[in-house]
Amino acid sequence: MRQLKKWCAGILAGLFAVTLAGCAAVPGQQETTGDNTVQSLTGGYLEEDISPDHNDNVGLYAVGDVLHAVTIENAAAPLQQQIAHWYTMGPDGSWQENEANGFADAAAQVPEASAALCNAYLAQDGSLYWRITVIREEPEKTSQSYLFAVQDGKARLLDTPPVGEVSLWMDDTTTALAVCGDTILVTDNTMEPHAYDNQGNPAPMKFPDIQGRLLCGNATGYYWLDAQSNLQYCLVGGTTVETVLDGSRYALTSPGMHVRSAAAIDDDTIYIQMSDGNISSQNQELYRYRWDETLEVVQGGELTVFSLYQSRTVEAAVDEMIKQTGAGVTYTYALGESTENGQAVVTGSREDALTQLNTQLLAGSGPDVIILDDMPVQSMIEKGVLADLTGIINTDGLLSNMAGVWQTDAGLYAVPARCVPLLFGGIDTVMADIPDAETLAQRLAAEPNINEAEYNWQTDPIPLMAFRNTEQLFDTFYPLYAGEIWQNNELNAAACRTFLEMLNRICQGGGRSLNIADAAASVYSGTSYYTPSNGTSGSFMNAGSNAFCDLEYSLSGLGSYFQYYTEISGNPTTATVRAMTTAAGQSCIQPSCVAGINASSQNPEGAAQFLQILLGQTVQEQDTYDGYPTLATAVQAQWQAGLSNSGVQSNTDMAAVLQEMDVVQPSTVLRSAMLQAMQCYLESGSAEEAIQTARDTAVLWLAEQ
Amino acid sequence: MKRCHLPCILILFLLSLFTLWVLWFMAMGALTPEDELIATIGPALQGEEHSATWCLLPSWPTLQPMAELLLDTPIFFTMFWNGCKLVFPQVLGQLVVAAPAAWAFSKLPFPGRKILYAIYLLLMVLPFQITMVPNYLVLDNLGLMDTSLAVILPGIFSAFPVLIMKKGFDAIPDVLLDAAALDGAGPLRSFAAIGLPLGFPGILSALLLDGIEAWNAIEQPMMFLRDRADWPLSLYLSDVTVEGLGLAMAASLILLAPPPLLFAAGQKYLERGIGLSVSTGENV
Amino acid sequence: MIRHIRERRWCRRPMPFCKRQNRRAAALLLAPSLAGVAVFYLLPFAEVLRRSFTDAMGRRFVGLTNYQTVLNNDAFRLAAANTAKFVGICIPLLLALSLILALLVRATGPQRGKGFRSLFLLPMVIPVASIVLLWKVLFADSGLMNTALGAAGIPPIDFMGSDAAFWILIVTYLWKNSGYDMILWIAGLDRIPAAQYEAAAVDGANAWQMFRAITWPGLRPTLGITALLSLINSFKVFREAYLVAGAYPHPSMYLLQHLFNNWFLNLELGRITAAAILVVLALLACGSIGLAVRRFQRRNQP
Repeated sequence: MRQLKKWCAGILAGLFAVTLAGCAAVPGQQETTGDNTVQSLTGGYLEEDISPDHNDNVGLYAVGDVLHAVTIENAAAPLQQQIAHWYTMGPDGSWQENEANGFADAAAQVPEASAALCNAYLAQDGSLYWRITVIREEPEKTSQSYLFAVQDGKARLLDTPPVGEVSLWMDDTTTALAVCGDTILVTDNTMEPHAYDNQGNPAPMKFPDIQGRLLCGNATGYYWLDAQSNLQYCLVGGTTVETVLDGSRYALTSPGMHVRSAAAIDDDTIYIQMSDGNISSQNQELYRYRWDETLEVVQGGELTVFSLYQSRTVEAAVDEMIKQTGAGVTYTYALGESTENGQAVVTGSREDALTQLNTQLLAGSGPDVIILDDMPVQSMIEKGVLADLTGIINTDGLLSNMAGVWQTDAGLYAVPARCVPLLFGGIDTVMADIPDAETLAQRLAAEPNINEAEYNWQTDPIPLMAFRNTEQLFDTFYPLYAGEIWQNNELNAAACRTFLEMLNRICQGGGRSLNIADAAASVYSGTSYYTPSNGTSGSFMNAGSNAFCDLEYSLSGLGSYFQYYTEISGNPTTATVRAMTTAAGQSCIQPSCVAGINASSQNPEGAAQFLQILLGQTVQEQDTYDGYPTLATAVQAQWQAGLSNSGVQSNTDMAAVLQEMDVVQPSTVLRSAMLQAMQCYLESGSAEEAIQTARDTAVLWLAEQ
Repeated sequence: MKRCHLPCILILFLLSLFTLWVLWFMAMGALTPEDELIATIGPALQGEEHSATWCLLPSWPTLQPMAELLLDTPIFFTMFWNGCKLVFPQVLGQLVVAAPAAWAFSKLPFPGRKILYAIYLLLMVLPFQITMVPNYLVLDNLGLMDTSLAVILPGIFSAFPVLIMKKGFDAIPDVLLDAAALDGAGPLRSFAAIGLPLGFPGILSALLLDGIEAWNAIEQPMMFLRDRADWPLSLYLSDVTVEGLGLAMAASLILLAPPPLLFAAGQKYLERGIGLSVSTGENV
Repeated sequence: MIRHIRERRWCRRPMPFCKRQNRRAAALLLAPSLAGVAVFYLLPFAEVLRRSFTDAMGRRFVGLTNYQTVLNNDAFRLAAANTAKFVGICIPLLLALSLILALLVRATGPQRGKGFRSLFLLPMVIPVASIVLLWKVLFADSGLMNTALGAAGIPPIDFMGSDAAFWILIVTYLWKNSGYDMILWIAGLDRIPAAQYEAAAVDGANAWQMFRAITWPGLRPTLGITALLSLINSFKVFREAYLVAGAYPHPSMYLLQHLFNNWFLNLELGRITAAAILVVLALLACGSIGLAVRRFQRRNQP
């Protein structure tokens, strides 16, 4: 028995040792966790704008050492009016046109079409191909593709594409194609890369973990664009990834522009074409990147920026700062966010991340710039963790209520770069009829029932307003009443009861219906107030209603509501937007993307510069879908841009509207206590029980203050 | 005492029933396919209407979760290796640092011994949260932040093994030391010649217990190792959701494995660890 | 050898080694440990003490303000009361339970005893995350416990949302640590010479009398260390409670460490350090009371 035990122990020990050895042998993986950093590189790529005189670029190709660009004029016009140009870049860097592009010939062979998408493909043997996809609306929406091979300026219709590059290019599942010497790389519509030889046969190959878009290839490897707009390179068959261009430093991250296509010449010259995604705007640029060893790269100081959640506004500011000053800015966010069934899911623990941050702050170190969302800002100010911004930051152009949130006699300690207002808008008759939140609640309660299965959006009356679930309904009204309900760190039972009963009336009274037929009932949709869509499951909420009242995150998208209202009512609306207020005059605007400078920062000048850029026109003007700008001029710019995109006129002075609103910062703990109370009330019908639930949930938090 | 063999065994068996159930639960859970797990015990984690159930054996035993964990999750191995990298140096360091200190407390009277010992005990009692910020300050000033040493060094100098080893050394009868002194050994020599060999069970048990503590430590690595790639295995299961239930079960089982292996190997020493008598049953 | 005898003549105490030798050796042996403890434990403790008299960032001296705030704070009172209740109930219960286990295991003899020993030690090594998983599966509203109760016809109990949470905490603690303490007791029991029991058996004493007269006095030294280690382990139960019930659990489960955790998120380091010092003072007070009682007992012993 003893021998046996010894043997067992020995074998187990051996296994253990082998496992340990195995651990050491496993190569370290490239980690993509929530801890993301954008770092600056000391690269020496010289960026030059070499846009030819062209409009819509439909193909950028490198054949041998020569760059070809195929462009189309009047791309949005009917096929017969489109004109193609085939440019070749000469050795002196100028564009020369090759007249024999065969496009006119090809277009003549295609039956009459009002809309056609044209793509060109230039194979490695120098032959040009055209694919013309014709879209027909009647009797139903169909598309048909024609392939033409160009020879001596004449286009010949092909039934089947020649094997190799062209057949892969014609394949409907191909989203991107790159030719790397003898290997052809293709990404399919799940963004999975596949490799083929030049006859079109699959050639199995190892790929690194590619998170992004395949762009182009040269003889030895391929380039792709990752999620942070950095250009990455990898050798064919290899798994080591090299970052070639840091997006932040170059035009790759120009606001509003996206990379359309790219081509690479063997001597490490890369051409990238950018556009703003709008065919008719003619806003296209072509950049050449060439390695220059003598290029001096401006290096500013080191700056660290930290936030709990990823913020696109901050990322835009980081890009801008790197472009302007060349500083080494590192942006880290602690928690990853994703959406599951419409509910936001956070990976990682806020408490742990905050504990780490606080440890650093209390020990006198930590990041230079802190984005204070979901952090105890008041505590931090009291403890002297944040630096006084008076005299360092210029807050002149900001909305006055936003600039004043954390302005005290002692100084200014934090400034919001975004705001989230509770806005109310709709068709004119509805707007005139509903002056405040209580009236809105009454109207919602009086709405007729909607049975999703029987509802016909084209004939049945359109509901007043729609909510995805009860939590959204709660979030529309709660911030307005939060101050009344929680007074002096105590629950005001009377105010709470009024609030709960109001919500209950809405849920019981009108518009209750089933959820979307096959979607799983979400946790919060005990009584869901469903919005009928116009048939497509991807409809936005509030698209099928007469009015909206919601916490708004995207100003440039606001105009689209009114475009819709104009369509369904047939009359142009005045596109009036106002703050939703209670009868007592309480409105709600929440600060977001709140920035502060660490009092123990080693680089306060850099931090101040960063904050100024964050609050500057370039960054504020970009719609990052995480709130409205706090810079008044940016508010006007976004609002006007959104209106003109939707073809709507408005007299509303958006900056004035926002400036008048009351700043509310609801505590998350109290909010969830109230949310639980509401759910309890909806389930049990007892106000006392609900109030008690709220009290119980919040008691510990209140006691700690 | 021999009379109550059977009732004693029965009572003990009943008391340990829960532990046995837990082990069985985890073992079976690691062998159950994901969908069955979600169907049977998932409701408890999702807060749904119908209640969780549990079957003695999985309907379709499968090695899939284990395989997925061991073969498809390289981060698991990295963390395992990180955990070993943190634990072994700590244990070895404790041997070098704590054993002599324990001997000094036990056998060498010097002024202030009791007070010093009391201070050691007091320092041991404080939970981590209280000393977190000062610890961070100290480590930062020493330039140790974000290195493994930030976790290893405080672990080596912990007062806990000193306590246990001291108890082990206390059990060594003084007459042996007298005899050694007569033979001409100084205090240091008697430590090496008598203390270490005889106190070895005590030392080993202290190291084992502390090794387990270090293996399961959560707060220190999380606070002082900022790079997730350096995290040990104890931090792997921080988020238990319905998604990776099978993985979580398999990981729990594997995490559970090393300490009992060590137990089995050091069985004799662990049991007789504290308060050893030189020869069995003889009164001194 | 001659040198030794000569030295011994000069030493007054009947000790193996001379004072000077002792002190030198002790200094040498203790040096590394002392150095490390001073840097990694004493220094932080001193800093904690200092910060309890200053503001959160440690810059401005504020005197006793922190202590006043803490003592007047409702949450602190609740947490302290809960912690005291927890410790006061748990530790005697654990000591008693593990002692019974130790006696039972010893009674089953050396062979089977080994198996049981490992079995009871196992809960201690189960990783925290697995216990959290287990806890959720068992005690959630639709967990296995409620299923079992439902099968027996008892209405479901809301474990995590009512006072039952406190008892779950205690049960978990007992389950995890009974094996550990059992080992300590067994070691202590082993040190009591068997001859004493045989003598008592000859005298006709029954099991209970033997326990009272021989076992219990023999275990007194072990009692001290076991109680201390159990106290230390009782602080560790926080992590499971936190992972299952979050930062704001049911008030019956709200311990001092929850409070510290939440205060820390709000940067209230002044309050945390003041509360920590208060806890240390309380422990010292209990410890000295215990010592005083022991000294009193010893004086009264024949």
